[in-house]
Amino acid sequence: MNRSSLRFLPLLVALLWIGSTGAQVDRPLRVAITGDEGTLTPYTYVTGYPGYELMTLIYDQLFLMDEELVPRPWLAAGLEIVDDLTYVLTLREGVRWHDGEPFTADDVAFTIGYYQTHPLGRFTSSANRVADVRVDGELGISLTLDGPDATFVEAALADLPMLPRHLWQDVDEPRAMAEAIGTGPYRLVEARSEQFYRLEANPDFWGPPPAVGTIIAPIVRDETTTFQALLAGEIDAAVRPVPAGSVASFQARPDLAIAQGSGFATTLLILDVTRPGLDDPAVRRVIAGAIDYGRLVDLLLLGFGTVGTPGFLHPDNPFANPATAEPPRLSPAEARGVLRDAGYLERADGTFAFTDGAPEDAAGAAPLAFVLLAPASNPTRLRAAELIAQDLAAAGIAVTVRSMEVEALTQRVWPDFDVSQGRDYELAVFGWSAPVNARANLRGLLHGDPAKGTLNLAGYDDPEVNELADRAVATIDADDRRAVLWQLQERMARDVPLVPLFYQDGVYAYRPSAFDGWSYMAGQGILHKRSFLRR
Amino acid sequence: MAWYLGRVGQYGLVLLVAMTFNFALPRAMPGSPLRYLAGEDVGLLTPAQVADLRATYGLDRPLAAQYVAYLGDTLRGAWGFSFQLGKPVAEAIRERLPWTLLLVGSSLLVATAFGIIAGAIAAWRRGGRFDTAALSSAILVDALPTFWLGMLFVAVFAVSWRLLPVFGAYTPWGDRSGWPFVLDVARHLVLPATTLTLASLSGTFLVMRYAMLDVLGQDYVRTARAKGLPERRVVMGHAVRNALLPVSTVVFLNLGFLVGGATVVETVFAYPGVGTLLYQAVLARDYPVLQGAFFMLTVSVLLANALADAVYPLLDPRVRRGG
Repeated sequence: MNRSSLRFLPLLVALLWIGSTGAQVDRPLRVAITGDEGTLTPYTYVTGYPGYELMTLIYDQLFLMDEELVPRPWLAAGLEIVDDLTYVLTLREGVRWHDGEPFTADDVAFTIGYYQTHPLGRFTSSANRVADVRVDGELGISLTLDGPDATFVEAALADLPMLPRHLWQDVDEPRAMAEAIGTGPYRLVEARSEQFYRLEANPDFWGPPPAVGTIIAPIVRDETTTFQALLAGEIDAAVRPVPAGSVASFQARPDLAIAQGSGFATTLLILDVTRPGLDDPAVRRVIAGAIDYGRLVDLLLLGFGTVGTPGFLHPDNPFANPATAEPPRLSPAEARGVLRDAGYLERADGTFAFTDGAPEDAAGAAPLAFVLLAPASNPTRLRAAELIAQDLAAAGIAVTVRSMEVEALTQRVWPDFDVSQGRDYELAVFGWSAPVNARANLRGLLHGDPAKGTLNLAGYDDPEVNELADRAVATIDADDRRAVLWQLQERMARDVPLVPLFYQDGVYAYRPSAFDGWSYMAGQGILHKRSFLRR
Repeated sequence: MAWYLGRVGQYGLVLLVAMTFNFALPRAMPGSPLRYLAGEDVGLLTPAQVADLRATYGLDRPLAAQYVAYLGDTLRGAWGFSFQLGKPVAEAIRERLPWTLLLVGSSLLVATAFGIIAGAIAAWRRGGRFDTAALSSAILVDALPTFWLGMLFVAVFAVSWRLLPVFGAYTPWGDRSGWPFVLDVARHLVLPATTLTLASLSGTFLVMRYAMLDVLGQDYVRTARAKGLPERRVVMGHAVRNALLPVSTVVFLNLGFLVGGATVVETVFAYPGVGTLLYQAVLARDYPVLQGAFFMLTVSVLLANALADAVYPLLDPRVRRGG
């Protein structure tokens, strides 16, 4: 060793010394999450997954979905559906809030009223279905709906987190209520903004005993950092799906395991059906038929996904129509044939144009061309847009891809999240979260009335479909409801109000030596209440 | 006296202009904070409920009214409530500020010290082996993307060698008192601070090197040498002291941005600083946080400027008033 390298020796020694003194402590289960989830109350959590699932480790619902998405009694011990409108619930005995106060029917009545008067996307619309609440003693409660609702158990009873009346009754500004007190299997003992949440098992939990003593959920926003931390042994699991390109190398590691299942979050091509050209079902059918869905799944997801069904519902959804399970396929020649038959002019360069009453003058006619918006921050969606543009060019439709910051894009396709304000786009690559698919919320996607079709970004409005969509919500009998939903999916395949592209599978990595009790919730993932309860 | 009043007036005007931008720019961005106010499933609300929500948070008021209220509230210290974090803006900033000061402060300190020393030596031995090596490394490191440098450190020091932690400011499940905690914080600081130091080192180095080269070519240095002063005194007493003047400007400027955090490094190392707070607030259109954090940043930059104004005459007699 010469003199100049000796100069750096003290630095090296200092680094090694700092590096070797990590405190050895009893380690809780460390599950990395993707972002800050506020104070983990129903009004401050941010994401549907993992935020809602983390929050409902603290708060309980009246029913709880099982892994196959069937609602099971939870805080409610029993339910009697007297008629289409009347739901009589009996609550579980001996349930207490984390602060020791008893949980009663008054809390349930209060919770429903609170969500009705303090708007929150996920809970207010389902709570609003309740027109009347009657409390019958400590544990009895009867709910009367404003109309029949086939999804009431899933969307309201199995979704609304119960709030303790004694703590919330004087809270006017729900987002300022920082105290997370529920009846759930875990208590929030520490929340550090942008750092981590620490939850500890509730020793007085009324249900199956919690399987993990302490859960720490560190916030790691960067994907690469998350998986480096997993490889380095600093976390035991991540709620972020493993990137398709890394799955094989993770599977090869003896210290890690992979949980894989369907994902209901839907990536889709949305279109404004009120625009010239896009208002023509023939053009929309060509767009839907020209896209090579298999190539999207193979190239973008490396096969870890399912091609979109024209009826929107994931093939694993119990209401999916097998007749519309496959996306339509048109070869470029077939697609061109459809456009010719529909009266569009084929020009010498292979593109099509509107006739506009001047059928012979192809030179001056407006081209059949659209701008496709894609979020700049999402490489998968951006690449999907480029591939779609290639496919449509082969069919004679010119598409220009334009990338935008995601909130700016949302503002264009869904101004202020209010479809009654109209829209300012032609085509866009967009996504709907898993619950839209899991609850078969086709009315939200299709209904022409903005109050009902709150997710109808296409501006689609068809009286027959509106009527079917209303029936899909009002039909309680499961078989009848399935029949209506099947009809709706067939209509979607014919009319193409939206083009589902694919559903990305959930692929999650964890360290089995730390905890091996994970269960996979269909369409969603491994972080949910049932994973942490002894079975 | 009049001179000081004039200066205060200038700073007041700059503050007002900056505050106006802090108000206008976030609102000029397309997009809306509703996704955070109503949750991810904001689409399930009816138009009437969305309108209610906008009214609750004053987003339906005319911009002029919002602006007047904002000016008053900000100056009074009432920075409001974060749309996305469910807590007061002041609290959110208070939680992040110490970590940012630690991270950015320590790397600023190291980068400045190293930059000055290396710049001085490089210029003094211009064209020598050290100068060539330092100059080319400075340009190389400056060209490397910071996140890539951070990722490289994580892959080598944290994952392959397991010497240092991958992320965070401390171990959430560890002891959080006394020396073990100090040591834990130090271990977590090493990689992000080193990344940030390398990313900012070249600026100070280059300024110092060029300033020093300039000074070494001045007549008074030649005179000093001609007087037969020892080389050490020529360099330390005459050259370095004068070359430090432009560097001090850079340092004061950096000082002002100390509280702004380092978004890229904080993101790569999941370090809970002001940089990620600001970045998330931009994504969420969290106007109150943007206004509060940018106000803090504005005031801090102005204070650093005022400090530079006050200190510069002490360093350089030529700019003393009336001198």
